[in-house]
Amino acid sequence: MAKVELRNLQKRYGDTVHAVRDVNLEIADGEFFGLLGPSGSGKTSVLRMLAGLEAVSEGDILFDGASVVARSPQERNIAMVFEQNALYPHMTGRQNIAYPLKVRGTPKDEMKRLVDDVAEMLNIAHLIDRKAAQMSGGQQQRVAIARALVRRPNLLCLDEPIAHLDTLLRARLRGELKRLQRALGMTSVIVTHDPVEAMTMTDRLAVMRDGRLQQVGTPDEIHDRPANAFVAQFFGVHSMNLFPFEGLSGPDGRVARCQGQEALLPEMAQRFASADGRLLLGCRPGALRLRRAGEAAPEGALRLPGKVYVAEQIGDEMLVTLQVGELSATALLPERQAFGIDEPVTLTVDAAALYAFDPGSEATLHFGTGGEPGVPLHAAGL
Amino acid sequence: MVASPDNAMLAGSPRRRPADAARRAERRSTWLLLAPAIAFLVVMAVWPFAYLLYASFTSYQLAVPIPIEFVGIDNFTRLLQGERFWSSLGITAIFALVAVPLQIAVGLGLALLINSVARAREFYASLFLIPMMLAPIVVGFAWNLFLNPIYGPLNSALRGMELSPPAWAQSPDWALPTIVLVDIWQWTPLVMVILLAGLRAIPATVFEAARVDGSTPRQTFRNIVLPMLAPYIVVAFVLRFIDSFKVFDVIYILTRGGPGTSTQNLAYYTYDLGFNRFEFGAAGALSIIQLVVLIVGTSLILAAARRGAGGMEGRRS
Repeated sequence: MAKVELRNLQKRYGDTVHAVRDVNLEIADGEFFGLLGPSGSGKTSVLRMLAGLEAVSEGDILFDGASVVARSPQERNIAMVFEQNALYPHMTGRQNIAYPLKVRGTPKDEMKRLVDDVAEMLNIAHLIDRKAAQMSGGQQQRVAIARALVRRPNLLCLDEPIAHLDTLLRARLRGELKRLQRALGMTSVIVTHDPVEAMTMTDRLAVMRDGRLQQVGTPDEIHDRPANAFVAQFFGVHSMNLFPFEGLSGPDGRVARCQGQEALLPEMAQRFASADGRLLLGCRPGALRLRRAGEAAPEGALRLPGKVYVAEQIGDEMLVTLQVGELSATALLPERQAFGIDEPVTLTVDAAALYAFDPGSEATLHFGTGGEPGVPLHAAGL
Repeated sequence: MVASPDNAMLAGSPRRRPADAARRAERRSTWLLLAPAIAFLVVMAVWPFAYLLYASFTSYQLAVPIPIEFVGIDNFTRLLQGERFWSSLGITAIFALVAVPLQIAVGLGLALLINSVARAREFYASLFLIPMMLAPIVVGFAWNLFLNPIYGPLNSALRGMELSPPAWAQSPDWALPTIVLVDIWQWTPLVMVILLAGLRAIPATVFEAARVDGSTPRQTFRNIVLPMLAPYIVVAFVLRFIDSFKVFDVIYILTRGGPGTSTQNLAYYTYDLGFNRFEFGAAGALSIIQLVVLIVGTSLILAAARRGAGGMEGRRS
C-alpha cells in the first residue's frame, strides 16, 4: 500500500490534444479515491499515467514520496481492473488469476493457495476452472478483480470496472468492491462517469472536466457544496436544474427573463446578479414544485412559467420533465399526480433550496439545501 | 412431371392422410428446386472427376492410336515402383514441410513487426503484399532475369565482390533451394496477412493487462500471443500446405523441373506425363495419388492442431 501524490500532472497527445491540465492530488494510504467526469474529461488518462501505461507529459507522480514516472507498471507494483476484454480468453479463470504469480516464478503450491483464497473471497471458486471466454460479463470482471488482488499491489487501479454490467449486477459488485477495499485497506483509485458509483464507493473523489480538476472532496462535501455549476449539475442522482436569467428589472429587481419567459425571483436572488443584470440559479429536482393554472404559489419563492414535456411515474414518485422555452428541467415529486403533455404549469422553488452561481465563471456563490431525493430505484439497481 | 403441392394433395387417394401427401409433395418440389444446382455440380465436378478416376485405370494414351483398355491398378503400381515418383514426392514434401513452415515463421515475424509499427501500418503491409499480388508467370520471369548466371544483376554484383556465385536455377545444387526461396518470397505475405488479422483481433487491453501483471515481452509472446494466434496459424498452415502441392508455374519458368529431375515435384511430373508424353492413364493415376496424399496430410495437420489445443489446456491446469 502506498500514499500517492500527483504534482502538476500534464498529458498531451500530439500537438492538439491537451487531455490533462495541471492536476495536483494527494491520495492517502489505504484510501478509496474516485476520478469522476464525463467522457473526454481526462480521468482515464490520469489513471493510465498512475498505472504506468501512459507516459507523463509533464509533472510528477510519487508513491510514498518517491517518483515513479520512469518506472514500468510492474516496477510500480500496481494492479489494474480494466473496463472489459482484459482477461486472457484462452486461459481458465484459475490460469488468469495465477498469471501475475506465474510470471514472477511463485512456487506452485503457494500459487494454488493464493488463487484459492482470492477466489473464495470473490465467490468465484466454483467457476474458475472455466475458460474466460465462456464466462458471463459479471463473472469475467470478478475474475479480473481476483487477478488484481491476488498479489498485494501498492495501488489498485480500477478503470470503470463495472460500467458494462447490467444494473442489478453493478449494484452488487459496487458493494462487494467497497467491502473488499475496506477489508484489504488497499490504496485504490477508481475511474467512473457514474456519480452514484463515485458517491457510494469512494472515500474522496475528484470531479474533472476538460482535463482540469473541478473539485476534490468527500462525496458529501461535493454533493452539498458543489464548487461550480458544472459539478452541481454533474454530481447527483439527478442532474441539478440550472436557470439562467437576464434583464433583471421591476421594483427591487425581482422580475427577470429566463428563455424569454418572465419569472418572479425571491428576495435573496438579486444579491447574486452580475452588473449587467444576469443571474444563474439552480435547484435539485426534488426541490422543484409545480403549480397548475389557478393554484396559488407560495410567497417568496422563485416562480417560473413552463410546460410539461412528459410525466413518468416511478413507484410512489413522479419524475416530470419540463420545458421552459428551450430549456429542459426535471422535477421529482413525492406524490402521484396526473399531468397532461404540454400542460402549462408554474415551476416554483423555495428560496432556501436555491443555489446561486456566478453567471460568468459559473463558480458557486450560494449553497441551497435539500432537494436530493432518496436514491431512485433505477440508480440503486433494485 | 410437374407437381405443385396443391394438385398433389388433390391427387392423393382418400385413404392417405392429407399430411402425408403434403410432405411427399414438399419433398418432390425440394428435389425439383435443387435439380439445376445438382446438374451443374455433376457436369462441372463429378463428371470430370469420374472420368479422371476411369482414365487412371486404363491404358489411355492420347497420341497413340491403340484402343483404350482397362488395365486395373497397373498405372498405380508402375508409378509407385518408379524412382521418379519417389523423387517427385520428395520435392513436393520439401515444399510442404520445409517451405511452408519457413513461410509461417517469417510471416509471423513480419506480422509482429508490422503490428508494432505505430504509423503507416497499412502502407508497410501492402508493400509486403506485392509478391503475392503478382501473377506467378511474372514472378518466374522476374526471378529468371534477376538470377540469370551471366547477365543477371545478382551475379554481376557478386562477381563485383570477387565472389564466384553459383548458376542458381541452373545449378544442380542450387536449383531446389532457389525455387523454395522464390516460393517463400511469394507466399510469406499471405501468411503475414492472416497472422496480422489474428494479432489485430487481440484486444489492446489484453496486452496492457499483461504489462500490468508483470509479464515480460517474451512471456507475453509465449503465454498469450502465440496461443491466441494458434487458430490463425493453423488456417495459414493448411492453406499453404494445400497450395504447396500445386507449385508449378515457377518451376516451369525457372528450371523446367531440372537440372535432371532435381526440381521436379508431383505436379510437374503429372504435367510431364500428361502433356509431354501423353500418358493420360498414368497422369490420371498420379493425380489420384496426389489427392490421397493431400487429404491424408491435411487430416493429420488438423488432428495435430486439435491435439495441440487440448494439450495446451491440459498442461496449464
